[in-house]
Amino acid sequence: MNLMISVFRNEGLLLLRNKFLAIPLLVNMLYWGYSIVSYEIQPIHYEERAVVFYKSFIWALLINLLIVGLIAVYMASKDRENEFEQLVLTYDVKNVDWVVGKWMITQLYGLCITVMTIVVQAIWFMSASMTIGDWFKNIVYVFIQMEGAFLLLISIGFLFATLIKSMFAYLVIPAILVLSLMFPFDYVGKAYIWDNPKFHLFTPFDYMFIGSPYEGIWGIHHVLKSSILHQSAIVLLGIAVIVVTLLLFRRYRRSNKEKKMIPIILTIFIIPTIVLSGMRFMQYEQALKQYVTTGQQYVESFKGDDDESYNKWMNSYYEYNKDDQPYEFSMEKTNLSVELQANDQINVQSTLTIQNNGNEAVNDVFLTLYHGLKIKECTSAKSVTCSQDKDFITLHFDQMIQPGEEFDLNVHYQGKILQYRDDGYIEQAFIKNQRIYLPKEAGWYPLIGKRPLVITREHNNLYAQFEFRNARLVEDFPTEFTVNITRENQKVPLALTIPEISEDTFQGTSQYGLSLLGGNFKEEKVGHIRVVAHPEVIKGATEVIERYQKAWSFMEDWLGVPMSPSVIYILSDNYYYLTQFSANHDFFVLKNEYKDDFEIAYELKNELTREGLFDNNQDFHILSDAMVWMIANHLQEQVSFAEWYKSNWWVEGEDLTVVNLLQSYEKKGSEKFKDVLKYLFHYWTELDNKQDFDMESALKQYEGESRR
Amino acid sequence: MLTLKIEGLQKNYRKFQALKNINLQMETGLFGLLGPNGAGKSTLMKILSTILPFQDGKVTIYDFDLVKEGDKVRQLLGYLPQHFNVPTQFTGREFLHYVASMKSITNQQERHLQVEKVLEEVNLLPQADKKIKGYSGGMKRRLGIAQALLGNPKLIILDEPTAGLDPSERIRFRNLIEKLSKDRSIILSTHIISDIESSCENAAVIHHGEVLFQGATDALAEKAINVVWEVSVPYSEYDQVEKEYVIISSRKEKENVVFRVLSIDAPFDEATPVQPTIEDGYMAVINGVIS
Repeated sequence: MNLMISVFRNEGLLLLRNKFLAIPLLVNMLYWGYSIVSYEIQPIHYEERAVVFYKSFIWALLINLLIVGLIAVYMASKDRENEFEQLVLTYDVKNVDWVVGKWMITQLYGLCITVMTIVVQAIWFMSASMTIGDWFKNIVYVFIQMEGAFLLLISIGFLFATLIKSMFAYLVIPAILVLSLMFPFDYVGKAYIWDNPKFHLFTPFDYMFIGSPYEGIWGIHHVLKSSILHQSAIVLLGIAVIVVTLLLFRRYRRSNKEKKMIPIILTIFIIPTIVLSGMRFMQYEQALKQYVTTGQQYVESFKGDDDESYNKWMNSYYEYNKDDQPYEFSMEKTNLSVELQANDQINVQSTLTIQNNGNEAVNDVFLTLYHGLKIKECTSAKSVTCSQDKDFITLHFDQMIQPGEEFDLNVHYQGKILQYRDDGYIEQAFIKNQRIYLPKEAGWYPLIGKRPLVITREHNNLYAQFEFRNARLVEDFPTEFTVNITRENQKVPLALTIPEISEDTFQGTSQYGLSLLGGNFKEEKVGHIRVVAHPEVIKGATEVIERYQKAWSFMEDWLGVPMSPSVIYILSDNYYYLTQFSANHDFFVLKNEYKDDFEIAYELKNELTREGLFDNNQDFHILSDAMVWMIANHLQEQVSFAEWYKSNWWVEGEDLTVVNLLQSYEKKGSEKFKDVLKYLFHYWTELDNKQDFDMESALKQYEGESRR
Repeated sequence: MLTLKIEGLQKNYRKFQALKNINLQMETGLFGLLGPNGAGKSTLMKILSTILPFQDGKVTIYDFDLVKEGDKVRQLLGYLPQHFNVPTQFTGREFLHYVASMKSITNQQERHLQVEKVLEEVNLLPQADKKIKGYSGGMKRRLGIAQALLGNPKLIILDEPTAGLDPSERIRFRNLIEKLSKDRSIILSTHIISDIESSCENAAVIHHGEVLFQGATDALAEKAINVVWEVSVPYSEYDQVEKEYVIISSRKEKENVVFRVLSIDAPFDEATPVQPTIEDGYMAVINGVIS
């Protein structure tokens, strides 16, 4: 041990005197300095400090891994290359002392980078809006990610420097980094057939996340546990690799003690490495399995036989109007008594008031509820039998439900709500101590009608063999909700898409439905809109929402359509994409980002014209652009529409007849232009076949009606 | 007591046989190992220093088996390699402390005493706190000797210690080695005859991985009795002599060249036999003039 310490100390002295090795530390300092200053000087923040930190952290980690790995190869091979090692071999020092002494000083070098990063993080996160516990957990996360990766990479560097006695040993480090991180690096939650998301586990740090390990109001919690497990296995593997290096280093020179001990130590580390790796693998395997099972339940295959119809079929996957088939029954009232239990379990006692709005009497009424939740009891004043098949519930009444008739139904259900999306990378619904999310799309409460919760299309080029997204769940009628929540260990504040009237009791009418949140958020009101967001971005969000509100009010006045939501959730990107299709005028999800006037205008226009987005009708697209211009012009005065169109969209040779026609109305004044666009919009809305939209004939009709 | 005993030693680098059935014995004192470049000297030195493993044979150093008891052999060993490269960011003193600790001199006081002693022995005390990168070639060699002396080794192996030194440094170095050999066994591997001529009592000649001679240095010279000739020939015959005989040296005398050549028989009628030197014996052995 004394010899090992001596090697450690003297190699440390050499390291200290090597000026080049100070460069990575300096570069790290400058990088973090730039990242922090460029964030802090912004007057309004649209992203949390932690999000910005982790985005920078990934790049810093990748560069540091390369540097530390190369330094490890250098440390292990420098004395062999300069032949000092030959001299050392004649000394009394043992192989273990020599190799491990140098390995330890290289680890210390890696630790310096880790400590520097953690100091930066710790200081910066002090000004972030998080609890001390979360602050500490973030530090733990960064520490285990960096140190585990460094430990393994340094050991690999030593192993290959021992095996390959040439400069090629240096190539191993970038090769390993590229091979292990290439697929996870560019991964967005949809693995192609030549990729396998399970292989993303073979990385020196836990890369089983998409975008950023930090997730808005849920912080680091959703990755921390699995990262600790992953990195524990990596640490053990790193030690096992250095023991293998000892096994291979100058074998003939090993002492009897080394000959006996090294295989024993290797076994001691290999066994728990296998166990922990297996646990981590099973953890992900389970998530992937849940995702695949859910997808397979809904998967649709292509039935046609020609390319054209195949393309049409595939494109229909992207259509936004998937859940717009009206159902005769409406959910008038929903009273829920929800018990949030540990381990993602919920127990719900519900009372539903359902009405037949159709013209026919029926025996069967359909509901939708996630298949992981099992019905324990189903009663009504009328004789009813409830059967559950996958995500659908069939209520069979002995007596027919007459048109206009209303009935009450009591349903008691419970089960595990944990659901995954994006190849098992994202938890779509969960109940944990620090975070809760029960989005409407998870089907955690009974929805009226037979509603697919997800849409999956067979896709041979994907690993899962299908494309998968949440279905659009749009209600035909509003529902009066009363929700009472009791919880076991969850202490986080809760928010629901309806207002809270007393602690954990929520009441209100919504045409969107219920989406339950629990985490580190702040709720504020912007006008009459409730805004739920991470405390650090609420100011930025308010600024953006105020501009949205200006646009919404304008559009409501102008077009006479409901636009202004009652509640806005600001979720991280992944959850924004999962939820956005179901949002309606009642409920809005916003991305954590700054938006300019035109981005807002396009987004709101798209909400109203979803059906035509994929049409090739040029007249419709010019109408769309005119509407965008009108909204943007209201937010901030623009150049004339025709001028704007020509500078932004006009392509050489394009016939501008329709644009010029609209320009003639613009010249007549703002109100006239608004009026004609409003007319055209409603004209288009009422068309059965949107492809038939013809601006000239619509304008002729407008002129005709105006004269009358 | 035998310091070193080598029996049937063989060393191969893949298909190339670097050492072929080496048998050698050495007692206390200064032992010279002569051979041209590429003869296998350094390979043999590295094997004796426990740096290289070997395929066949047995080596014992002070009765310790080199393979089975390598760690015990290392405790008796001081080694100066042919290319003495060390981390140059250390000062001489720091480096010696590092080496001393790797030689298991863990007691700080003891280590300090030994380091100061060897620094004095090799006359490096004034430069001890300078970084090694500022040392001259001779100073580095002395530092090399100093590190070999740490731990009071019983056997010191010096591989080409004077290579690259200027004449005055070489003389100083030889004197130092001679001084050290009084109470230690030293193996001095070299291709420079003068390095061992003055100080070694015993020597071995190695060529193409084989030991061609082993014995007293005087005996090496004696081996060449009656095969060393001096002959004076006209300049015009220079090429013919060079082609037919092994020339040890030549010098110009008026219109003639006087050659010192190796030959079993008199090369010319007028050739005269001369008293051989160690160099003559060495040349005769490695050129196969005598067996």
